[in-house]
Amino acid sequence: MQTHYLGNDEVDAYLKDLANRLMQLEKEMPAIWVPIGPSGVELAERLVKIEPKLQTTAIPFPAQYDRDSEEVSFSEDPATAIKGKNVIVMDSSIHSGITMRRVVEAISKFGASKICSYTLVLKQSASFIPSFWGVTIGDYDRAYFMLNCLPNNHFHDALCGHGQVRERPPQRKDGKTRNPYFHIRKLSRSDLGRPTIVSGLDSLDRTQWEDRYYEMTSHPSRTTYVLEASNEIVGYLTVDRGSDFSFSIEAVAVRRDRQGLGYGPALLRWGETIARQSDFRRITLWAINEKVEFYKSKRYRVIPDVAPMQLGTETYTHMTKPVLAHLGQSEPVRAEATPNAAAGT
Amino acid sequence: MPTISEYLAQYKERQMAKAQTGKVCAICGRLLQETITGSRSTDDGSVCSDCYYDQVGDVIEQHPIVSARAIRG
Repeated sequence: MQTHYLGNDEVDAYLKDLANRLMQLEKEMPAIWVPIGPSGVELAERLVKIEPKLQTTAIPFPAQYDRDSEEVSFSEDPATAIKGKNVIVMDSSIHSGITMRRVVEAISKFGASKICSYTLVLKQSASFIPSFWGVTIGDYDRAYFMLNCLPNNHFHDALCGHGQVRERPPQRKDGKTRNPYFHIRKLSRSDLGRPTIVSGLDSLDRTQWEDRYYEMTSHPSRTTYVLEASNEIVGYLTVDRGSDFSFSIEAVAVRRDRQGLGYGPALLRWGETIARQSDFRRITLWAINEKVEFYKSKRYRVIPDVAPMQLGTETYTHMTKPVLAHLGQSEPVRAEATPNAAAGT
Repeated sequence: MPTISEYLAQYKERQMAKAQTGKVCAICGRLLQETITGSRSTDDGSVCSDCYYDQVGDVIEQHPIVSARAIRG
């Protein structure tokens, strides 16, 4: 995974080229601009600043696309204005291509004469390729542009970032607050002999650090990370970089007396970050049966043809979700052989 | 008639006033920007990555994930 940085000068340079191309169209220049979302509007503003002559020719109709309802909405009713006109649709980035496609379809229905499109950043596997675009990036890459501050990777849920204040979630019932005073590191030989954590799940709590360390040395695809706060191991994550396209979260646990402090979220976040950075397509995990519906609500789905796993009195279901939503729409799910899964239960 | 710059600036102001500049996190209300905040589709609506990990991570703490693959030499 790469992170691409486009400074303001580079963005403006791409927009300068776009402006030149539009000006060359002369009478065929698009009269209607449809910037998509806030970033599309910002692109349109920058474009006009770069080429003020475009001011006199363009009429804007900002649009938004709701992925949940699959509806396109416009700031004002564009039906009369768009009919018979040339239109340019612009967005700052195209990931799956669905948004751009839906907006173009909507404009077509209004009777636009001709439609062209622009994006600053285009992901490699996008299903919609616009008329013009600035840079192509890999599916797992990120691109930062038009930002006054760049986001750091983080575990702590900062309340403020990028100039917008994030409303504090409702006060936690247990009154616990979260802070960034912890780190995650790989399990190492020096951890052997340290007490294991008590998470409350017997099958996990019986496992020693020696077991997990042996796993790492004998199975290079498997890694255990520990979360340390105040020089104590308070949680851990074990992952398996499978030989197919699946990344498995094998174990996540947090010491019972340290739960509610954001350590579970941090470990999960680190797991998904590794999966993305390593270009895995899918994440799998075993979910306790009573939480299967919860995981489904987060877009996990049950892997078919895999028997549930019985551990003591608890039953687990194998579930999976795509690492990146825009790559997951039609991914086949391969059932994984699990020698320890109880058959027929 | 306003210029396109004026129109877009006024549009942004109107949207900010309506707090509808774009999709907001269904949990914390933060404006969602795919690359910066993340935007995760859930049954609760679209949520930012921070809130997504808060929710799922908290459940994981209460119900640890296990695969019963501990191997001992």
